[in-house]
Amino acid sequence: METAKYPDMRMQGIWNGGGGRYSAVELDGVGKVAGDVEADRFISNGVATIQGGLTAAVMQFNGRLKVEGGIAGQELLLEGQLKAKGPLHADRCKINGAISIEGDCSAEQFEATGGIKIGGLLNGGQISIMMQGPSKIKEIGGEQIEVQRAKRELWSKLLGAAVPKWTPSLEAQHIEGDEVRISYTNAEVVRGDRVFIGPGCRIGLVEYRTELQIDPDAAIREEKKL
Amino acid sequence: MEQDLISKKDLLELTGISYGQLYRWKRKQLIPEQWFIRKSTFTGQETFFPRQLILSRIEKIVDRKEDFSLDEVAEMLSATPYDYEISKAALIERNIVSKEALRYWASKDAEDVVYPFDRILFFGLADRLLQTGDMSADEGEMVLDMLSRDYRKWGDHPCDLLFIRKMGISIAALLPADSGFYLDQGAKLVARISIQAEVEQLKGKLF
Repeated sequence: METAKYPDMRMQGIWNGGGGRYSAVELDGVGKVAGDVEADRFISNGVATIQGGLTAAVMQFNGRLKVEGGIAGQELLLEGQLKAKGPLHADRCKINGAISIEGDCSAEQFEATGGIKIGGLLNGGQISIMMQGPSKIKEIGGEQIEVQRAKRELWSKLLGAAVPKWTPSLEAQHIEGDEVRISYTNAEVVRGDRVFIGPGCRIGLVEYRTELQIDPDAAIREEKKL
Repeated sequence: MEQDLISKKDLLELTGISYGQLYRWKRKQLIPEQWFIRKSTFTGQETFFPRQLILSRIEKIVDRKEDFSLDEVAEMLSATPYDYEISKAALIERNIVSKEALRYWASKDAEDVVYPFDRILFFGLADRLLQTGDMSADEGEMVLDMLSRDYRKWGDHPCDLLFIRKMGISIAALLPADSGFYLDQGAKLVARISIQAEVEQLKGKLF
């Protein structure tokens, strides 16, 4: 265990910070950090850019954050918007808002409400996604995977009510898991032990081991029992 | 040379593990990233694995996951040797490297010298060739020289040690584990040893 004491970084207003190893980082207002940041606790309120990677055991993002590198930690809480190059690794991810990661993403628990864009693989133990906007994830893999729409009143206030393009749905290539429950999802291939295809799905191929349930309002081109 | 690959689907069928387990082990870095090979098939991009490597790896994980946490298993399996050092005397005492091997190649080192993990690994590899009678002690010097000079150049990439003979001349080579090669007709491949397998075995002995 490291016992060395690192400095804190606390910024407010319009600020510029330097990268480095900190104990606690608290950013309020608008600013950017030059370089990689490593901290025990990282809290950002407002609009911040990190021109590098971020490593912190506990991370809280409120507002808008852009990370130009990867993110690694144990716990990530997001209220707002996160854009990162990736990869993103955390034990627990709780997301409320919009997240956009260019690379891979992995978490033991990944719980998101909002709009999710992941350019690589989302790998998780328990994945739960409640969509409030259009989402796009290249691949999803894990133990329990659940994708559904958030309750209508949550997103009908948004553009979705007026603009069809903004209705919450997920685009994915492959989804593989022990238990897959998805609705309003377009995917090329879905594979799993137990697969539940809900309403609004369009799937090319479904492969399952023990159980398959398909909602009447789903279109599947081909299904195979393994 | 087409390397022997196995598709993810066949792998799960053969081993009886589930998608969830495979993804979990990937998350925990029990399976190296380089082993996930993407290929285009009629269902789009599919994942394949080097057959031998993945099968022996899964067997090891399944064997150990009852007694150890996944993080501990990951530590045992990681290809990057960790900081583990051991003295020459203890190597003999714990029968990790044979007496003969150390007499041939480490006679100049004091009894209480402490070897880094890499050095122990190189002794182990050379010792294995010595014990099977595939290689003489002098040739062992050559192998050890090459390993200490070039092994780290592959970084974390798993590689194999090749031992080749032609008309009494011996050649040692290091190749990435997933690569093939061709020899001319007069040359004979005496041995091909997976260094990663040796690392894992050695860790098993050291733990």
